[in-house]
Amino acid sequence: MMIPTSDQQLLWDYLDHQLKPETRLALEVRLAGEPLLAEELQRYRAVHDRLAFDSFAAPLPENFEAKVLAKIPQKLQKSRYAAISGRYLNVFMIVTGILTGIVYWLQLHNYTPLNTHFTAFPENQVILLSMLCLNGFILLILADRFLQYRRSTYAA
Amino acid sequence: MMNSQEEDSLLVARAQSGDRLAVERLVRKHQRLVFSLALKFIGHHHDAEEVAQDALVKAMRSIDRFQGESRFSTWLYRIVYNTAMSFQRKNRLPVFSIDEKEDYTFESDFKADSHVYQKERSNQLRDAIARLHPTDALLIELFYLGEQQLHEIEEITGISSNTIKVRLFRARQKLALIIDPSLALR
Repeated sequence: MMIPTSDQQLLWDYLDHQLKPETRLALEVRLAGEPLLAEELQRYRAVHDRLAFDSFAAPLPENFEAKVLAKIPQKLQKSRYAAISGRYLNVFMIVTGILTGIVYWLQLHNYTPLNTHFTAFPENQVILLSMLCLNGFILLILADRFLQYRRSTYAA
Repeated sequence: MMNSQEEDSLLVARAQSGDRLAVERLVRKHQRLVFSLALKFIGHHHDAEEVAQDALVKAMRSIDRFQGESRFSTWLYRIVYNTAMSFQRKNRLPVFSIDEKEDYTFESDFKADSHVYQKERSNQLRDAIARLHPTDALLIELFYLGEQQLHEIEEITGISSNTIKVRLFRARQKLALIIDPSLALR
């Protein structure tokens, strides 16, 4: 006699440790009183244990490892940005680049509030020049990262 | 003692700093499952070898781009999946045919701890899994051999967690009928 599909799924979830504590407890109570359910669990457990503990991966072809290692360059490119999440660094650089670009553009086109402020202090031209340099630097880093991304084979 | 995931993290960090030995250890550790998965994806032994090699080389060359947002194994299996799909598209390959499985005969009096017994058990299990639908066989392999959670398998294959759960259920029900109980764990 077959047990219902819902119970079959419940048993697999039990073996996968996917049940909530109360559901698990309720099932264990049922298992104690329902021999058919307990028998089915034993059958599933045999399969589950074999899948979990027997190695069934296909055997490797001859010299597989040597062939792979021969294709990997001796010196891999070191990660220059490993310490910082690349995504956050990209966002930071794009935002900073846009802001410095806007400020420089406004100054270049004599936007009054900025112009008044900056023309009052001519030495602040140095700040503008620094902004321009920073912007250029950020664009260079972004271009470098973009080229790295293009070079990466993960795109496949 | 380090678990497998901690070991991977350590090896990946060393590989990212250019340590060749760490790269070799990562390849050694994951190569068998990578090949086995490639075989499930592709079906043909020779092509699977090419895909598996290609995937491992890609992964190691771009290891500096792994940022630890998922487990290393999940990231690696995703590369295997992408490489296999790309290979299939390029070569217009048919999906894995279950007719390629080999036949095995079993003796009932193997001792539980003997090498031959273990080998036969593995063969029998592989044979049983080969009778499943290729996608189900792949899910079984990722779930048990790859020790991937449902959401990680979803990340690798793009199949929704609910569908994976249903397919795993059906696959294991079928395996429960196929697997010879005389070779069960003792």
